[in-house]
Amino acid sequence: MSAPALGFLTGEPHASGETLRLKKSRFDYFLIWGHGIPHLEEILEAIRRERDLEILTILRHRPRNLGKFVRVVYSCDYAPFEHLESKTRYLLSVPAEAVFVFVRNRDVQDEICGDGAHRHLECMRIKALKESIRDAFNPRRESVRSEDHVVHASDNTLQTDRILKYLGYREGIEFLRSGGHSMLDQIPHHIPSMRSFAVRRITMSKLVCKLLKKNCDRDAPLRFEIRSINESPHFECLEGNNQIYDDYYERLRGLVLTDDHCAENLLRLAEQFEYLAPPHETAYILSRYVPESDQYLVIDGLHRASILASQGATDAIVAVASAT
Amino acid sequence: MRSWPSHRRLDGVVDPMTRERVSIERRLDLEAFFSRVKADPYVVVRGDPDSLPDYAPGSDLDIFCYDKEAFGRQVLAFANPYVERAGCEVRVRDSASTNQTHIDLLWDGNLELRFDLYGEFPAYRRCNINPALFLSVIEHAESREVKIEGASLSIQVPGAVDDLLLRYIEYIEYYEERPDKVRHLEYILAVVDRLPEARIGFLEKLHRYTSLPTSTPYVPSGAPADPTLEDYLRPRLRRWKRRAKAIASWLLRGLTLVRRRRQGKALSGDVDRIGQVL
Repeated sequence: MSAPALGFLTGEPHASGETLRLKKSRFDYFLIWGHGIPHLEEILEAIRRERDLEILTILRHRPRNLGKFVRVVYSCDYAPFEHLESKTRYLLSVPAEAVFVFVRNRDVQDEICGDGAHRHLECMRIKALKESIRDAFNPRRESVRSEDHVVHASDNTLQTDRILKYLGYREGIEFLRSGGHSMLDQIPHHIPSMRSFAVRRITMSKLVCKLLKKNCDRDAPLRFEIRSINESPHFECLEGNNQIYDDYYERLRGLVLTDDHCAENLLRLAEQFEYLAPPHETAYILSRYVPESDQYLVIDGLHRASILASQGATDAIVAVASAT
Repeated sequence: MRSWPSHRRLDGVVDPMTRERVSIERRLDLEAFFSRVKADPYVVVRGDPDSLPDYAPGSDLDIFCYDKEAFGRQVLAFANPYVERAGCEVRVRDSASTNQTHIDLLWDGNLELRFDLYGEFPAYRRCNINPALFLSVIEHAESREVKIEGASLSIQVPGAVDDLLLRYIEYIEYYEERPDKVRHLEYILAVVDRLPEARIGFLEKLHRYTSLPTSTPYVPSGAPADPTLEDYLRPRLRRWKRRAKAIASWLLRGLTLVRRRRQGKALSGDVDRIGQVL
């Protein structure tokens, strides 16, 4: 017997008489410490494999003072910092760089863990994933997993909110809520909210994108250029040149490119891609009209635009954000 | 994407402005739209529900719905084939002050049809409305069955009592500016005379969900509810500015005519008008 068609209840099939459980959703984060960054791709892949976790943004952070940074990360922890001091001493010797992966946790499975001063609520899904990553990538001593953890994860939304504020996002978890317009599908959170937009058909030749200059170094000031869709690394990837796309993302992931993309996902998407097919009928490519050049600059949906271009489309239906 | 419907010529459609019956060519296949939303809770409250799925180009369709965003996505999905193949453009705009969204479907810049989606009652000035009435109108919607080429189509319209109530609110709210709204009152009187049970239902619901705004003094429509000094001065300043502009324009015109006359260029018609100016 399947569950009743109520969107807010769990969609899992259940035996007759089994209690239905309300699904809770919240924002969590994974923090990959400096010594885990060489395994970033594998860790991201492990997170992607979790069906109820959606990667929202990836931010790279270089703390000036690693000791202070560690203290901030653990400041919202359930245990007093004195207890954590010995546990986190190893962090003072790892590379002073960290990657935050913020996720939407669509099925929070909170359970009480620990005893006494360490008693706290923790999501079992996050905990299991965190432990599996640690099993795979924590440094090993005499072939035994050490406790020098490569990854840390949040226990509640308050910690996520606190970390976002520390990283400079004053609005805290509001930063992760969807932007754009509520009628548009698949708009990432970093697109500003808008009250109006238009939907129109344009020729693909008028659709352009803003890319980082090829010779732009990671530490140098960012320089952008307007290019046609056919000149984007995304299009190159679809034409069989994955390396350009991988290099582009590898260079800028967590800095300018904070959405979760990889070449495999793009190629998988392209395999059976049908633009605006149900149930994504309002997943328009979002653009902004540039009157000076009579072109439409892609704000979101460059992957979809590249697939359309590689499919040989001459026209595309796009949403055009209003000038305000 | 679904098949592309051809244009259709219709006779005897009511023009929303003149209320006359005219022949029109409509571009949108609203049968397909109402088939698409048949499982959604909604109700078409204004426009001309009796003539649906026919419509007059340039008209609007007011719809109450629980989930404005989801319903808006249905409208956009319905419009996609028209955007793709027929040069249609869709414009979406959220109202700044109310929970309302306009979705305009345009051809060559001309409005073909506007969907006005409401997530709650619009703000009325002449009567207080319990927000629960919005839900009640949707919950008590009636299906109007339309037979088109053998197939049956269902359109959700307000129930008989809600229809009277909505007409009454519209009459009360807009009668001052639009005396033609008296037709709603005439309709209500005709129905309650004919159907005593409708009269009881109408009065009961009217008393339950609406009240006169007694706590605040009556303010004419268009004026702010709590006027400030700025509200008092702004229309007067606007009026003085308009007058000053008109005087300046007349003086400039007069001086131009005098100059032209001195140059021997003034025409007889102009000479008469110099007198008016000077």
